[in-house]
Amino acid sequence: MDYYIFAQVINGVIFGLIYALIALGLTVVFSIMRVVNFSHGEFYMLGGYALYALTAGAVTLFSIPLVLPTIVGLPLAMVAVAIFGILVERGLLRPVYTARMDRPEEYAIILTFGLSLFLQYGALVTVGPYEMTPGSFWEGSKHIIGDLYLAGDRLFAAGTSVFLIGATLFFIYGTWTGRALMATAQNRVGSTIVGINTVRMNITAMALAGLLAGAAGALLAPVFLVYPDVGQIPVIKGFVIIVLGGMGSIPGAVFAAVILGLVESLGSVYLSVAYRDVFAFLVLIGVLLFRPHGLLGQKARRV
Amino acid sequence: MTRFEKTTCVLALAGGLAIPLLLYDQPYLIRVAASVLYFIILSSSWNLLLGYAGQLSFAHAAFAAIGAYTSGLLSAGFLGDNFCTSLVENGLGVVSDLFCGENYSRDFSYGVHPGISIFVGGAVAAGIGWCLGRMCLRTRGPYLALMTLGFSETVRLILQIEHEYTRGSLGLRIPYLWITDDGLPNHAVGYLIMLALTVVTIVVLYYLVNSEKGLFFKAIREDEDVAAVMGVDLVKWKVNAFVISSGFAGLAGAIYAHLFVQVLAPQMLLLLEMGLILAMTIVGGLGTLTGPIIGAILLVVLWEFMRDISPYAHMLLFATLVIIVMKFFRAGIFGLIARRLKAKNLISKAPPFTVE
Repeated sequence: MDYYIFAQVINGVIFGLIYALIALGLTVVFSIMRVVNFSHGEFYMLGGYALYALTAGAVTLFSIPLVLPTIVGLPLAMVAVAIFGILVERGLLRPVYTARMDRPEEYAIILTFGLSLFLQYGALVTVGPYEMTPGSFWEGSKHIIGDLYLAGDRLFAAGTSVFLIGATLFFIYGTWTGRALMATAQNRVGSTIVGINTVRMNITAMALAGLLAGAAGALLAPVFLVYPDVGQIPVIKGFVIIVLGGMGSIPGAVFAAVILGLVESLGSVYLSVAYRDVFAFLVLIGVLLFRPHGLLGQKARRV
Repeated sequence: MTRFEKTTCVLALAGGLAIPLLLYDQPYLIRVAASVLYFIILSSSWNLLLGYAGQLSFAHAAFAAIGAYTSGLLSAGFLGDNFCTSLVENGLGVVSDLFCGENYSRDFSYGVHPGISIFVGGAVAAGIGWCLGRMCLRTRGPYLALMTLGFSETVRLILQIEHEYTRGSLGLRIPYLWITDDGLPNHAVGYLIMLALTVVTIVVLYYLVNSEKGLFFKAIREDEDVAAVMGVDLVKWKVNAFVISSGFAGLAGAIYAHLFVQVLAPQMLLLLEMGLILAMTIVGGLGTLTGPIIGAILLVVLWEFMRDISPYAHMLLFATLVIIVMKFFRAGIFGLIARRLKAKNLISKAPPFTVE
């Protein structure tokens, strides 16, 4: 294996890990609330803007410009996006469960799609279409092996992703709240009967999605910069991943994310660079046609 | 139809016909009026899918673009001079006159006449709609939305990447459908052609949704499984909804492109366009024929007033309107009016949406 292919594999894995952060939030929200959050890409965008606002000195608080170190800005940006996610759940998505409503699925899709346009064009009107550059997490390019160099920011993003994915998996499989989440995903009514507050589970899921999307947005902000529609392509990759991994399956999402990252970077070597973004959609349509329950998902069962 | 409804229809049609007479010396406003008609066709046909058959598709703007690009490529000489000369050499001069045009204009000498290619565009869009409808048969709810979103983005990327044929983001220049002797388009005539297509769309949709077929669509929307048990052929009617709506979208896209757009770019497939169609239908009133018409007129007028503020402000307003309407009155503007009109027995049917 020559270095070029090796570099592409490394790149694919790095992208896969970051895609996994985006897809994990989507899949948790889907498994708990049965809602595909079409505004997830704008959560990602908000993460980038939050990092920029906190670290670049463009925003002043009591006439002191905010110039926090990026490493401090990252958790703050994550928390900010998580709070936004909770507000969205409280203000817009809660009626899906609590009110008697015509076709709640349609309501949720149109509402989150509207929210996505709202945030995107809100950013365009207030901040403008300019690309913003927040500070770097790990400056310069790092020597890996042989002739292979990688940008420090990408390595930092991948490393942090591994940590956050591990933390999320521990939270879901290792704590009582996580078990309550899984129970809610399996059977909402049943978990209400055994005393789980499912509304609180909705909030937890949205907050978790906000944390992860905010982290992804902030981590990639120094690499891809921040602009209003920065979240559009990543979120569509996220959709592909949750369908490929099986809607609602958490290990499936991580697994599928790495597969997609590899398919993209190897596909652009062996097939066509221009079609890099098309592969994801072909995978999406193929999976929906031939294996609608995804790689690790369960087949739909009616209760 | 009650007398009130008939009067409203006649008045609306008269108003539509009066616009080119009133605005004869203001081509910009005629263009705006034509864009209203374009959006009326798109949102009405999208409404057939979502409001009547309950299929949430994000690919509608893609179908308009497929129609426009098919027609544009054919009329801009995609077939190439080799094809046309080989027709003449093989004694098929009649066919080449039809498809290759007799010097329709200097730039597009080897293209199909737009008068023919627009129907090809509509047919290709309907055919692709048939394929997508077949592919989406087993997918429901969010899966259908994701699948159509993926399809739409794929079409956009392909149009952008294959720039050898489509000229990508540079834009594909296409001939006018109708030019006067001085070589310029006549916007008033273009507007009337759009108006005719709008009337045809609305009339077809009216007879469709008020017939037995309309009941099939509504049954599928309410509950697919129950509809199937009651003997509705799910495969047939879901696919039919896709074919009809994408056919109209393709035709509208092609005709509008040849009359008013002139340069096609993949930007017409951005989610923004889909957002416009969605906003017009939702704000006007989902599941009614009048709703999308009101929505399209209102939103385009608002858009024109907001051009001075910021090039993006209109979309921010429309997204806000979508959220407010979905949250507080899902029946849309027409739903609010219709309840009052129904109480006075002015209209025959209340809108279908039961709100909370």
